Amino acid sequence: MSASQALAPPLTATRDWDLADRHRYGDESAFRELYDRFAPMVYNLCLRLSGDPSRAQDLSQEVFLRVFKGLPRYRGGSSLKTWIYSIALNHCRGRLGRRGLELTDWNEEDWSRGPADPARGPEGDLLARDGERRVAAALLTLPVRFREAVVLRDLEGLSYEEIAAVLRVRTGTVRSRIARGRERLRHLLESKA
Amino acid sequence: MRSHLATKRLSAYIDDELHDRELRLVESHISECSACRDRLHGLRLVVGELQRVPAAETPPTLAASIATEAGMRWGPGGPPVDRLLGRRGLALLRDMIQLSAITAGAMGIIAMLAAYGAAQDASRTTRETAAGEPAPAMPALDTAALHALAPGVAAAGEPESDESDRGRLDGDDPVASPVEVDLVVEAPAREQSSDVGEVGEDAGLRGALPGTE
Repeated sequence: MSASQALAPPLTATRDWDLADRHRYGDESAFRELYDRFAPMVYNLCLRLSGDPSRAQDLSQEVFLRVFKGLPRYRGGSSLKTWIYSIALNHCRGRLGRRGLELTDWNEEDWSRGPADPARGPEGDLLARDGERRVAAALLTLPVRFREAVVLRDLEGLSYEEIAAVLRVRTGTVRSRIARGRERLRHLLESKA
Repeated sequence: MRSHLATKRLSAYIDDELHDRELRLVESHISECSACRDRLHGLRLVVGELQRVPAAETPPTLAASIATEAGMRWGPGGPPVDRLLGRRGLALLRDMIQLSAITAGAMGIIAMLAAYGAAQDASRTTRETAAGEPAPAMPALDTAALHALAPGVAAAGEPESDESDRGRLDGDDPVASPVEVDLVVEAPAREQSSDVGEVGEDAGLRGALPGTE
């Protein structure tokens, strides 16, 4: 979870509804607020599913335009976070297709764009980044259904219930997909070590 | 042969997503089974590495491109007006604009009513002048003439009574003199217009206020 996400106040159902309502009545600042809150999450999901920063930017833009159009119809049945994740995930699936999601050209340089950690020092930072790239590359080799679950859980920090709502599957299925995704990663990383 | 724990149980154990009974089972098993303990350790390493992967920074041009496509005025940093006023300031400005619109509407109605009254006065003066009579003040009404034209009015002797009102309405009788009918009808017509103006104003405010919330 990024620092900005950690500092953001929790989104309650009331706040979600208030944001959608303000957007419905033409308050442009409401959509800006929504963008600031969810852009990192949408962009990172698109990046981790497409594996291409340029493609991820296009996908993110399309996702937000769909959110912009769909927000007046948001009725608060799920949290805004879950609702937007569902839109993003479905959009990526539709645009990339199963082949596009699984056969991705991966540029390791593009994965780790986070700021360097001064506490690790230059050498430690290099090693850490190398490890991050290795994990990220391994992640992209996972079958889509496992990758989606692992990304939502371990990189985006969603709960099992939230993932079940986003993927529209049962919690037991989520548990199984996360476990199988992690197990495959463990084998992959141990074989490369 | 000893059985081992399913990976999904070990994985859910890491996420603290096990029910009490399962939790006890897993903890009891891994305290005795080194193979499952090793697998759990391996899974924990994977989860740790995944969680250390930093979030990619959102491209700085993304906000502007979305705003352009959506036809909005904001780019990076939010709409200019929002930046200047903040959310509370923006809401206050919106309320002030709505209140100004309501006030302007009410003033417009009052001005129209005043103009209508003035036009009526001018018309009456013109007709009276044309008939060669001075424009009389209300208390100087010729009750004898009224009696001749509308007996009910003079008999009552009280211009404000119900009978008087009926007499005024009777003044619409085409037989009556146009000058005197105008004189009698004019006063209540103005009061009525004024009342309508006030009611209209109040109704306008009542109708507009919920929309401002």
